[in-house]
Amino acid sequence: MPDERALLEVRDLRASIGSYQILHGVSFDVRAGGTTVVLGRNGVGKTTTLRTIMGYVDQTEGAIAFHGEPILGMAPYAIARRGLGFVPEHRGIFKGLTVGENLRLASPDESDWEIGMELFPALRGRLDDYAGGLSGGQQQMLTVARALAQSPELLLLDEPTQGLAPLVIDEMVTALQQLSSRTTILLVEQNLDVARRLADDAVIIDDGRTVAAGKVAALEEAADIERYLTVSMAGAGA
Amino acid sequence: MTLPAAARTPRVLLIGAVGLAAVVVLALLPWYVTDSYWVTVAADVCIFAILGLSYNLLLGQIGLFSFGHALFFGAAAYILGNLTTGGMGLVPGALLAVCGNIVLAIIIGLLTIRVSGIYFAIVTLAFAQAAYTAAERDVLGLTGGENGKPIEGLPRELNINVFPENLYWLAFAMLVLSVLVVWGIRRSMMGRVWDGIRESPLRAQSLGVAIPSQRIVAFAVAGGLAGVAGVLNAMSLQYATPNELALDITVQALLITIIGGPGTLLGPLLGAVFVRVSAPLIDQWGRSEFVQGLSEVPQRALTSHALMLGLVYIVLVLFLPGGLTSLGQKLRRTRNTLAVDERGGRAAGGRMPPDHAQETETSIEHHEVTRGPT
Amino acid sequence: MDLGTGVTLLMNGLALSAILFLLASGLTMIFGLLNVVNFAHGAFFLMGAYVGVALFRDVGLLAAVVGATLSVALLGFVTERFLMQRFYSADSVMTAHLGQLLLTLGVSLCVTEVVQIAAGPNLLPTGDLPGFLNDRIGLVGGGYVDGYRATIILVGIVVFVALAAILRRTRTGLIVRAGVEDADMVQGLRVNVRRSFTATFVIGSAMAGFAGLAAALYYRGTFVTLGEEHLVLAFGIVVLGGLGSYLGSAVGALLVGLATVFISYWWPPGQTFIVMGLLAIVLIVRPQGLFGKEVARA
Repeated sequence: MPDERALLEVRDLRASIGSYQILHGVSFDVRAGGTTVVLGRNGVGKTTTLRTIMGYVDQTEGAIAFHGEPILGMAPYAIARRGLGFVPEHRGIFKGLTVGENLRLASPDESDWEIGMELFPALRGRLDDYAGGLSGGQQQMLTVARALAQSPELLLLDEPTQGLAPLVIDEMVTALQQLSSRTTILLVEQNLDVARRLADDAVIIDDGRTVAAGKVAALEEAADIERYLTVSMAGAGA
Repeated sequence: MTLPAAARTPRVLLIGAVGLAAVVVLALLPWYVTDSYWVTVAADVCIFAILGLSYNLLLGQIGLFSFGHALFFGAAAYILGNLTTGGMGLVPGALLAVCGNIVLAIIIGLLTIRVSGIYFAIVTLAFAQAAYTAAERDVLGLTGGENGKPIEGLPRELNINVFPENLYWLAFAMLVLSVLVVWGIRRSMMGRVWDGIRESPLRAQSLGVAIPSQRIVAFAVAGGLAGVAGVLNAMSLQYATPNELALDITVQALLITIIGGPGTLLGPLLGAVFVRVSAPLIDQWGRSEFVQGLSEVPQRALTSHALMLGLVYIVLVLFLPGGLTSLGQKLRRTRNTLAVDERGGRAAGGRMPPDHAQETETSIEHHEVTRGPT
Repeated sequence: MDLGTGVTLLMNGLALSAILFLLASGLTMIFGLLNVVNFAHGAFFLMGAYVGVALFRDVGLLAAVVGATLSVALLGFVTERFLMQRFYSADSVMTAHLGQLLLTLGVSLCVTEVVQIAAGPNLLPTGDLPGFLNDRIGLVGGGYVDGYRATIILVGIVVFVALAAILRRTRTGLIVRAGVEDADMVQGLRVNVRRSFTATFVIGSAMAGFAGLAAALYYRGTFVTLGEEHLVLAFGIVVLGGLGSYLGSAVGALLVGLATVFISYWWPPGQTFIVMGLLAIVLIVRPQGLFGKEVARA
């Protein structure tokens, strides 16, 4: 029986880093089982939104609820233990550790690594390789696989295709599509094509505020939508 | 919070008037402070206030945490000592010492041009300690070893043991000049650029600021001011010794800046008063009957200037990072927060007040979790 | 220099290196994981020396070792848990790192002062060491090493291997190694790195305390500037080896310890001066040291 309540609810979120206020009121829901994408131009606060949800930002106001329970103000590890996984913008793999050690940190139980290995077979033979020696795409795969080893209920992904070659982007998108059937995903993406392929729902942020939210298809129809999105990406796609 | 334009002008005038009055009152100090010992203390405060202003330019303004500031304090003293024992007059010697110091500061600035953060602190420490140990062991014969180098050619009028008020006036005049220089920098475009560099070097760079050249300028000015302080200090001691290059001097400069209030103009002045006047005060208290009556260890504990400073310093860093100058602000804000609580809500929207960090902390404790660094 | 003298100096250098390694490794791991340079490390070293010597004179060697290590470990715990943790959320007036740095400086001032207050300004000698520790062991070419220095070299090696094993093979070690690279990400993987911070700080401090006692026994006495002098050397080592690199602290300690002993044989006044000069050059040319992580340039 589907849960009526959204898995993640963000209400009027404000956040500051240092003396700069970045978020001025972000609100949206993430439906359980779906994939939601956060869109917007550079610098509007998309990454800050994810990081705030994950607990990395101290100066905050507003409310964030996961399964109806407030998590704003909790430490990142506590939020992670509630069932959130995080794949940060700059991959966040531990370069001095091997692939296996990266995974082991997420879970000492090697059977948990299977999910990630299924989605990204390229990692299988490379458990003893140093993560720093992997290609950009492989590092990105490792970050996702590592997060999956903890079986998160909600996976936060910050621009997972950034800086990747088109072929690798395809691989990643296919893997994420497979993933979306079992994990709720909240995704930040600038690549509209990727967003279209992966997400059902979208939230558009501008200047630290939510300006639109709804189904991806519906938003695309909206006349003035392009001014909120990355100019170069408008019209890109297969 | 900016006042409306109409209210700003009287405020500036008020500050100016207060400042001028303070200068006059302090200039007349030797006439109402009759104990010559305290006049020498006053001179000492001026000297260290200049040093504090110099250190604050680096730490509080452009954002460079130096752990070797003693180098600039002691080097000028040694230059003066060497020049005067070599026959040069006091005045040209002093001027050359300050100039030499500026050159030294520029050299150090160039050497450390690409070094930042903690590495900068350590490399400046290394330079200062190298100079200190070299001076102590008279490495090149320039420093006279542990005894130091005497300052020759000091006229009787500037002998602090005979005419302390003259040296006080000289130091005070130099302090007023230094304050004007620093005030001028703070108000200038360059000062604002330095603030930007301190807050976010990346942002400054992206806005086109040439950070390296700004650093050199900051070094030059800080070196010059520290040189003035070092020369004055050498004149009052009549010697240039390794102690002026010791880590303790850098720590004093740091304490003065932090206790007074980093990044402010008034801070180093208040800090110098606090740090340098508390020592003789504690000594006096130490001679009181009560303290004399205690056994050895408690006596040493209560009269330890360093311990008292250390404790005050820790308390300030934890609870009042803006130093003494921010005390007034903090008291005002506490009153405001209490008022807001009565209205039953947090401050609405806009900029998050820094006190918010405390509020968040309580809710964290409620959730029984702890935070790591972000 | 004849063979005998060379061998003796080598042994002295290795013993000093062992002591410096014990001091510097804690410092580098604290920086690597917590990202703070613990200026109080020298004061912890000093406290270990004084507590240790006092216990050694009154009770015995074992009491000295236990007392020095545990007392400083406790001090480290109190410092991290009640003082430094307050800075884990950045405040706009003073950034977290600067605040922690300044705080450790304050702790250093207070602890150093308290030690001097309690023990007085004079040199505190240890007197003779028990048993074979006092004896001289003859080596090749007429050189020798005294029993104590030979022991401390062995202790240094054992500690190095033990800590390396913990880092490489245990989960705690894995967390520390990952945390040195990216503590935030470790938190994002459900690990409460905070506990590792405290543990690293405490262990690092305890080692500093133990190193202090070791140094006091090496010099056959302790004096008030012990902490200051060695802290500067420790900084040199961690920078040379690379801030945050365990292996770097060992290699750096070896280089600095040997250099100090040999330079002070050939040119006594130049000892600290040269080491400091070398340190400055390293920082300017290659700030990340031998094994450290890349440093962002200004």
